[in-house]
Formats: sequence, structure tokens, C-alpha cells
Amino acid sequence: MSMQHIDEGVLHAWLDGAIDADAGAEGEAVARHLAECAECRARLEEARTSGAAVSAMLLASNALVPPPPSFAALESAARSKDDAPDRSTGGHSKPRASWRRGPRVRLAWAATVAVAVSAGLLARELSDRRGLDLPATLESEREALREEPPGEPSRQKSEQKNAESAELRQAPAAAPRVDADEMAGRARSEATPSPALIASVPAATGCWRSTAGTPGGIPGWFRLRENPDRDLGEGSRTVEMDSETGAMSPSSATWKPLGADSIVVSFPGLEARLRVVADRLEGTSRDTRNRDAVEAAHPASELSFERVPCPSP
Amino acid sequence: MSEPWASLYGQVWEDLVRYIDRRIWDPERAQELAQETFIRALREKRIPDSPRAWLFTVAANLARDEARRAIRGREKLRLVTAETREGAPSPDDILTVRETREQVRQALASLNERERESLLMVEAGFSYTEIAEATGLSPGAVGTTLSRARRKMAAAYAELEGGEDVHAAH
Repeated sequence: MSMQHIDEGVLHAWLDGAIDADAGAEGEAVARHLAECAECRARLEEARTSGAAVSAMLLASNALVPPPPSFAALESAARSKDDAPDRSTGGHSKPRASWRRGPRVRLAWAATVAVAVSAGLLARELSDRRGLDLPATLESEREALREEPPGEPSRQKSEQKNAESAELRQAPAAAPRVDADEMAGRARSEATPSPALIASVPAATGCWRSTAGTPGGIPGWFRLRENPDRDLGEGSRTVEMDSETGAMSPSSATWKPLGADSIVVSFPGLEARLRVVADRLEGTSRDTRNRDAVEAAHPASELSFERVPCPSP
Repeated sequence: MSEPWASLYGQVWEDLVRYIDRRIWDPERAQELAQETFIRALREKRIPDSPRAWLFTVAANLARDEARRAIRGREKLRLVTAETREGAPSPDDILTVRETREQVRQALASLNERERESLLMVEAGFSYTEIAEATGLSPGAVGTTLSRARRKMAAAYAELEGGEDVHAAH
């Protein structure tokens, strides 16, 4: 035999096309050896099989990727000034808080992860039934806003709040399909950070129960997780809370802790609806098929959650 | 100035999103980071020598930041309105993919950083030379690293699957 058996790494390089018979002495030597050595041919096939299995695994784990947003939208985002353009080298930048993702096109949906808790803002019902009068809780809300750190644009805040409420009120009663432009507009309107209302907040992860009641009779707790699905279809708006600063976006929603184990989320001027799309986390992780999507309307502009022990999986 | 990026955009979008997603396991966030990557590209003063490699490098950095951030526990409570779910995949599809994803995530976690990086890069179509550059491995060591990565992946996955068949892609 002209050379010792082919190194495992070289077999992979061969299979990946990093070495080939037409390019260089190494490639020629490998080709020659493979022609002579049945053992290495068998090892090559084995490597090919395992490589293909790994590729297939990765392929099967692919998230569904919707088509990209229009390039023009990115170009205009790149030009916009409220995203600091100085961190362009791809180095280890300080990550921005999530609500400041900038004027970005919000994508309609993404598959695969679980939603924990969601609450709807039933602007439509509000405009049908109650008109514009805001609930009493707004007053305490305003107090909270007054206490925000200096430098935060609170005036602008509440103006934006009103604007957003108005926008919601005007939503047509028909199915709320939104076109891409409107989605982009909404994403922009969410781009302003909320004031940090509170210095220390309980971590948002864990299991929480709505004190307003349990919608639809499903088990009364929800798990808030690190990667909640935002798979809520077109027409959805996302309210996000940063558990470090307690700030929420859009600014029409705020939350505050009531002790370490409970929080209240306020939607001034809007009627809240609790929607739960949850893994019930009963039994093992293999039983995640047991999912529900239930909703309950609450005659309130805020929802309270209290922390409950997470059942062990 | 944006010409080369515009033509790359459609070509690399899916690869880029998946490349990020396999690091952070949050597909929608991965799409946002992919957009962020392109926005940064558009703000670059000059076109890099290898625009495609540049994009993936920036994406890897963003994903790394994101992963660190998740570890530091800045989780978000997301409260959303939800009116329609048209066009979304069925819950069963979602669950099947999700189980697989969880297994693959765990299998990838059994690799060390260089092994994982090399594997994800080769699967995204990068050459050994580019992988060597990005990981700091010598070009000759890439094959060896990949052989280890693939062996570990296959073993971890077989273990997670338990008695079930090691499945093929759809």
C-alpha cells in the first residue's frame, strides 16, 4: 500500500469537496489510496452516511422561514436616524433593548415555539360599547409616568399613547387583515422605548396566573418563557416588557409589580382580553400536543398576574 | 452602494435566518437579526471582499450577543393581541417540528464551540478555508473537527431518539 490509511478528517474533507483528485498532491494521493484500499472505501461510505444523517437532522429542524421583507424596507431602515449607525462592524455590540429594534418590518408569524400568555386589546369592543372614557386606573398610571427618570420623554409618551389608542379605535370591525405597510407602520410606532417605570422587577419567567380568572376553564397557570412564540398571525401587535427595566412597548401598556410575586399590566383606554395559547406542560415534554387556545374578555383595562409555583415537568 | 447586498438578499436569506436560528432557537428573532445584519451591511462604507462571509460573521456575532443576553435573563413577557392566525402552520406541524428542533438543539449542545461553528458553517455552504478563518482552526484541522462534530451529533441524536428510528428529512 502506497500510504497509510486515510485520516478520518481527510475523509470528511474529501466528502465536503475541500480536497479533490484534480487539485493538488493530497487529492491525488487520496484518490489513489481509495482505489486500492477497500477498508478506506468502507470508512468513506460510513462517513458519508453519518454526514448525510446529520445534514438530514439539521434540515428537519429547520424553522419555517417566510419570505424576507422587501429590500427597500431595509434600505429605508438603514437610512433612518434613530438606529445609531456607528456599530457597523459586526463586533460585540451591546445588545439593544428589544423594544428598540428600530424601524423594522415585523414579520407576520414564525412557527415552532410555544406561546405562554397573551392578552388582547379589544379596541373594537371598546369603541362599540364604551366610547372613549378611560378607566379610573389611568390616574395611577399617570402618577407612575410622572415618576419616571428625567430625560424620558413622557409628554411625547402620552401623546403617542393617545395616538395609538385612536389608531386602535379606528380599526375596522371586519377581520383585521393588515397589509405590509401597516405592519411596518406599527413596527415603527413601537420603536420608541417606554420609560423605565420601576427599578427592580420580578423576573418575568416562571409561572403566572391571571387573577382575573381562568379563561375557558383550562388549568389556571401559564408559563412565561424565554422564547415565547410570537406566532399570532397578521393583525397582531406585540407588547413587550423588558424584565430588567420593566419598560413596556408600545407605551400604551405599562406594568408594575405588586410585590415580588405579582404584576399588573395596564392597557389604559383599552379593554383587555386574555388569550392563552399554552402548552399545558402536563406529563412529559412528549405530551406537548395538549395545547389550547382560549380567550376570555375581562371588563377591565388591566390584567393582574400572580406568581404560582411551576409544576414540575 | 447597495447593489451587491440587494442581489445577495434573496439568495442568502433563508440560509442566514436558519444559521442564526440554530444558535438562538427563536425563528422570528432570527429573522429580525437577519434584517439587522443586512441593515448593518447597508451602512458599511465599503463592500467587504467576501460579502457573503461578512454577512454570516456579523450574524454569528449578533446571535452570540443574543444568546448571552438570554443567559443573563432578560426575558420578555410578551403580551399580544391576536385576532387571526391565517396562514400559520397547523398546531400539529408546529409540534412535530418543535420536537425535532428540541432534539437537534440538545444534540448541538453536546458539541464544543468550534465543532458547532464548523458544522453550522459547512452546512451553510462555507468552504474549509472560510471555516478555518472564522474559527481559528488550521485548514488541516477542519476536517478532523467536522468528523468529530458529526460523530457526536449522530450519537447524541440517536440517544435522544431512544428506541425510535433515526429519521430522515422530509
